[in-house]
Amino acid sequence: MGGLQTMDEDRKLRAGEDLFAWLMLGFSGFVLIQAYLISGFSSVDAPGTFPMGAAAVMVAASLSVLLKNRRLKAGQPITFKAELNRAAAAVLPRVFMVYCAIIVGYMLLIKPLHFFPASFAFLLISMVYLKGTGWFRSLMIATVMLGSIYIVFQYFFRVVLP
Amino acid sequence: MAWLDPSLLLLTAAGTLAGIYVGAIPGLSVTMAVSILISFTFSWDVNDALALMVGVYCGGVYGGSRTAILLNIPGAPAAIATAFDGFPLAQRGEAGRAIGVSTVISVMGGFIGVAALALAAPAVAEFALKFAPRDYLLLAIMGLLLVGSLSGESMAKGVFAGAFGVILGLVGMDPLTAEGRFTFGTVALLGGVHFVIAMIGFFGVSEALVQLHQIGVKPIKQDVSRILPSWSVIAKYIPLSIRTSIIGVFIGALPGTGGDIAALLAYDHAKRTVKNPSRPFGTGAYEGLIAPESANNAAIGGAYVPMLTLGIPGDAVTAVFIGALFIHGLKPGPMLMIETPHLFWFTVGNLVLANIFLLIFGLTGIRIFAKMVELPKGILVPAIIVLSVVGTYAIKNSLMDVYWMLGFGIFGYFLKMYGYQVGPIILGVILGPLMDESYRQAIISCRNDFGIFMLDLVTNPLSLVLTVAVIFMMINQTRLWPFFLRIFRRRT
Amino acid sequence: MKRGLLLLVALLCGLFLVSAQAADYPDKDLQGVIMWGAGGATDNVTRAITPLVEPILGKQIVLINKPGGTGAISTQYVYSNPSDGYTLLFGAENPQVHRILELSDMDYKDFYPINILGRGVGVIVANNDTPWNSFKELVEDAQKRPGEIKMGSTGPGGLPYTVGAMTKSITNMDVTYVPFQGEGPGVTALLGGHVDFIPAGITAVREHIRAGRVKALAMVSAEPVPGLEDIPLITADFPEFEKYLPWGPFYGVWVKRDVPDDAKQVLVNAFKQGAADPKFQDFLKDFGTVSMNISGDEADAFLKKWQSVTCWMYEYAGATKVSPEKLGIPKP
Repeated sequence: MGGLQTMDEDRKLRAGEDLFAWLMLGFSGFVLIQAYLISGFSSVDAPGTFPMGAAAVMVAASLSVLLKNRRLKAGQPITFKAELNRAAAAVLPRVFMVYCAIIVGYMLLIKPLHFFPASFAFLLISMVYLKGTGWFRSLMIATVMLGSIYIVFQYFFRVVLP
Repeated sequence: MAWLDPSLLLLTAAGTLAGIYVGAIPGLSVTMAVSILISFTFSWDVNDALALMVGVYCGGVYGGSRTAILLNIPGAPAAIATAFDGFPLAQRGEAGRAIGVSTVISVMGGFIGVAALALAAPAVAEFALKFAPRDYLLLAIMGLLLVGSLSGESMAKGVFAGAFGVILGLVGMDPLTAEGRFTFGTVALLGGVHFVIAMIGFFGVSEALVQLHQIGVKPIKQDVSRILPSWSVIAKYIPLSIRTSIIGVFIGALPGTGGDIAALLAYDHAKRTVKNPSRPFGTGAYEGLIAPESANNAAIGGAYVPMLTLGIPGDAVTAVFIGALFIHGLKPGPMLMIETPHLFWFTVGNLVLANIFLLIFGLTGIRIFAKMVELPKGILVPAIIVLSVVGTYAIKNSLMDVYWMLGFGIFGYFLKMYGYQVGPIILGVILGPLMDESYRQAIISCRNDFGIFMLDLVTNPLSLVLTVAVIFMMINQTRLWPFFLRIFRRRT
Repeated sequence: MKRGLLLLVALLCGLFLVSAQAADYPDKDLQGVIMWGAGGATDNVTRAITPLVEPILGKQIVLINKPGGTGAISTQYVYSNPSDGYTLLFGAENPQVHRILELSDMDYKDFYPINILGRGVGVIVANNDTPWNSFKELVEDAQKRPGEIKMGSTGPGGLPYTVGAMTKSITNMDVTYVPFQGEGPGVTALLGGHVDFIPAGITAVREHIRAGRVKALAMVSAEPVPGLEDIPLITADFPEFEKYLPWGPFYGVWVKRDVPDDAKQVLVNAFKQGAADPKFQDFLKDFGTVSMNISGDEADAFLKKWQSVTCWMYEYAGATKVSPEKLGIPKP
């Protein structure tokens, strides 16, 4: 996935790809409006001029993506709901959803529980959930990792962790 | 020579070793480490303090490539371009070899940087001063053209990502007018989004989330039998690394740009000039690893050029060095080299030593690092997330930044799933502010007259060279290029 | 007998501990928030003073840089921390103009000055290729060729910007202001000839003047600066400047207003002693900064005056978003 580059012009459209492109177009439009609000069309050297240019490029690029998608589309008219379901299955697998929930929980608990206990729990739970290794080894790894984080960040770099 | 003193030798070595780890851990930056060392070495002799700091600087710039290659999280901004081909190499099981090659090449780049500093510092510094705002604008455009090569499956998606990155880079208070941009009226956003936060989110966390799809898949076996590259392999890459080192020295010497931009431009240069790379760029080409690695280490020598000759920082780290010199009772400025020439030669000697230690420390322990990638994803993914969280927090001691970083990670996951690359985003975040600022300075200098602006681009020799280069690169990337070639061939 | 004495001592100690709970301050490490990034002037001053203050306090001051919004981020961060005296704000002059620029509704009125360590002085320097030999010649030339001369500037709040506004209000000269991120990049552009002149802090240009790489036209001060007496004072040709002077950036340490008085006193004493250390004084001299070492009411008076002069100058230059009148900032 990461660095693989494929210049396939005649591939099939991914599930939900069109929807995502529309979302990005909406997002670009929003950014363009926000950029306009900085200083309008007041001058070529205004703080908002360059952001407006960049936002316009975003809009143009998303339009171009949508056009390209049109060309890729291989007919098969499906309902919006079916498309959503297909997209969810491909992009939002169960493991991703659950894991994101664990991450969000971790985020929210960093402050009340403090960094080390929250991270310890997060490491344990996620290593066991993702079947990385058993309880005992998870315990060991989490301890060693947080120990080194403590030494490097809190001791040497004097970062006051939450 | 003062720098051959055994205690100084030891300090440089310790600094280099520590620097490699500081560089490798995302969120811990060399700037931060050197700042802390100022307090730590407050009562020391200035030579001792500098020896330690120089080591940390060299080690830190090099260390960033470690995590870039192994985990796709550049440990330092200068290693962003390293991830483009370094990470695919690790995924092919060649992490050990990639680190080996990058170490040797980094040290070579480092030596070229020191040589430039020792032999031509005053000339390079005078040349760097000649860069007007419009020239910085042209350099930034040149860098941004790299979007074309990082776009992946679709140019339009790459351009979208690049422009989004530019916008992200502009969030916060505009430094030229104190106007808030995309801040929605909050003070929290006035400071903008630190680009390292975007880097950790879009590279590290989004990659970790994508890997959730292959949770049960057995990790690729790393080949650790050939870590030390043979001389013939190195020799093959020497011409490229010399060219990219020279780019590194000059970009490093420019007061407005540092190792990150140097590495990006070097990657771009490699991509344009190497006709038959070992593999296509972006899929694990050694050329794509060598170019940024030699450039970012050469940029260290470059950054010292304006600092030691003029007292002007070449990058963020040398700015802290200048502060350290003040605190130790020296007067950084044009007179430094005249009044205390030993300091100049001391630094040169120190940089040489640090590079030698880099070679030693860099080549040991690679096996263990490479084996890290063989850990099951179920261990690696949570570890990456915790490291990203603590690294992000450390930059500004802000939990808000951590939320941003995770948001970027999740957004980056969706982008990746739909074939958008994250490389252009980071490119935009780094180059956007430089472009915005230099564009406005250039146009204000011409009193908002585009005619004069265009005229300046072609009448000033330096700007003319850069303008021609930009036009050439633009044509080269579009469909017009084959057309030009055909006309040219017909004529001859 | 001996035992009785011991008991008495222990009892006294216990009493002392109970009564002097607040006097225990500081009983843990402090946090120091620097409002500018690593390598900046505020950062340099902070990192020069803290190692001298730490042994006096007997605790460490853990420094972090929290740049952004010319200090608005740090100011708000320190304000949101508890008022226990364990969070220090290391800052510069910038918050004093935040309200008129609508960057933040907080400034040093919300903080107690532990120590204002020193202040910088501005100097107007020109590129060596320019024809002028004095500030007067520059002003005359600018009146002959409106808009053609380029001045290096910064965003509002920076020294070049403020001195630019000052000169504009007095000489009414019309030059093109090219803004840079800070005076450092501006001076670099001056050296390369991309701007013609720049008002900058002595720190940024002193060595360049000494090396003859730039020429100093005028010192933005009413009285000579030790070590740089041969630079003409701006008030020699333009006495109108006197009403704005002394003006310059300053660096100091603040805590929230409602920190307990005992803690404030401990900090004031420690910083007073630390700032008087010859090592720090030497640093300030090399750094081109005038030592101040003032605190409390004296510092508050200085801050008020600085704010009123600067804000009203911005108002005359048309650079404010909210009038200082409306914010209750008195006219100088």
